[in-house]
Amino acid sequence: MIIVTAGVVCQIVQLVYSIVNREKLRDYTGDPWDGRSLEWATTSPPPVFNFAVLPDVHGEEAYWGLKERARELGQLRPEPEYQPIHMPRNSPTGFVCAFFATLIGFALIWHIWWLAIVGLIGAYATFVVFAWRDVKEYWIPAEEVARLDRLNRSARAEAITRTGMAPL
Amino acid sequence: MTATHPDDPNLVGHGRHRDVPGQGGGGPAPTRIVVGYGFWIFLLSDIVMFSCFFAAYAVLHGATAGGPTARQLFDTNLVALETGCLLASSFSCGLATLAAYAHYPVKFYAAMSVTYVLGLAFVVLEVREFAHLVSIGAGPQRSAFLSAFFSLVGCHGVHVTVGLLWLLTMMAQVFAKGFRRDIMHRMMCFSLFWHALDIIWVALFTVVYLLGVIQ
Repeated sequence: MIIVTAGVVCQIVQLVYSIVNREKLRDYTGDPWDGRSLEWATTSPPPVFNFAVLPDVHGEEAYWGLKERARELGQLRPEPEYQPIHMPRNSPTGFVCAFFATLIGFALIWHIWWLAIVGLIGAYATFVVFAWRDVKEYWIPAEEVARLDRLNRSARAEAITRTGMAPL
Repeated sequence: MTATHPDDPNLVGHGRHRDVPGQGGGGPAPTRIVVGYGFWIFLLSDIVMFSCFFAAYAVLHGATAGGPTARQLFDTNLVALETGCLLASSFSCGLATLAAYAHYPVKFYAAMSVTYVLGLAFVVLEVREFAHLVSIGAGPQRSAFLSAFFSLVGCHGVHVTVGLLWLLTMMAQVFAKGFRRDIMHRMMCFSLFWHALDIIWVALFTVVYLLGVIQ
């Protein structure tokens, strides 16, 4: 009881402290904990393509290795050569199918046969519409990739000058 | 600054380090590989689910609650016919895949139609078997053994039924869009699905019917 109460109090204190000091504590780098693995190398929230260029991985803690090198050199790595990125188009199919699947499950549990049939037809129709699409991918131009990655890099460069530490 | 730095770690996958195996080496895999890999993961998750039903059946097949046993219920001739239909349909599905890769529309539609008829025959035989069992009082509510039996075999039957729907959609897609590259990827997935159902049936035939009749 006492331990649980202490836990709840700690949580409230943390929430209040975080909200009061939100401007001072706001993270612009995407790497607030000086992380060791690659998910901290991109912005938060990440862009749709996750990484502007494929990172090189030679072992565990790939991002830590990058940062070690940046700390030795005292600067960010040179800007890579950006290339257009091939992306799948967004689609609401998963959401719509999940809706119909929920209908089917509900209807089967409560023996509402007409509703189960409606759900089945809906899910199948969604599937066919999705399967019939002709354009399913698009390209993000290299300039747009470069623009977004430069924003990410400048945030990280700022973090170096502010903390004296090289996050990348 | 340009990308002239020889150690730029970001350039892997864009022509450098082609000898490095694994992550990033040579860039992203072709779509056919990515699609096939994703579908294999789906199939494996499906097989994980089936293995749960198999485990339940293995544990419960003796729990007949005083009701009929596997030996009294199963008609091996009917099951042999079902198995024959399904195995033959896998063969014609393979022929359809070959015809699709070779862009022979007539052979493709013919082989797919044969696959459909054989698959439909399997489903009809299975539904008749189920209806017979229910009519003699051996429905899924009779005993834990029969609950496990109907879950396992019925789940496979639902897979085959959905596969038949997919088969018709596949034929319609080839008819409407031709042997386009992405359509061929789907045909590859369908073929994997159909063969996986066959593999599951072989296990099911052995564990449920053959072992059931021997014991």
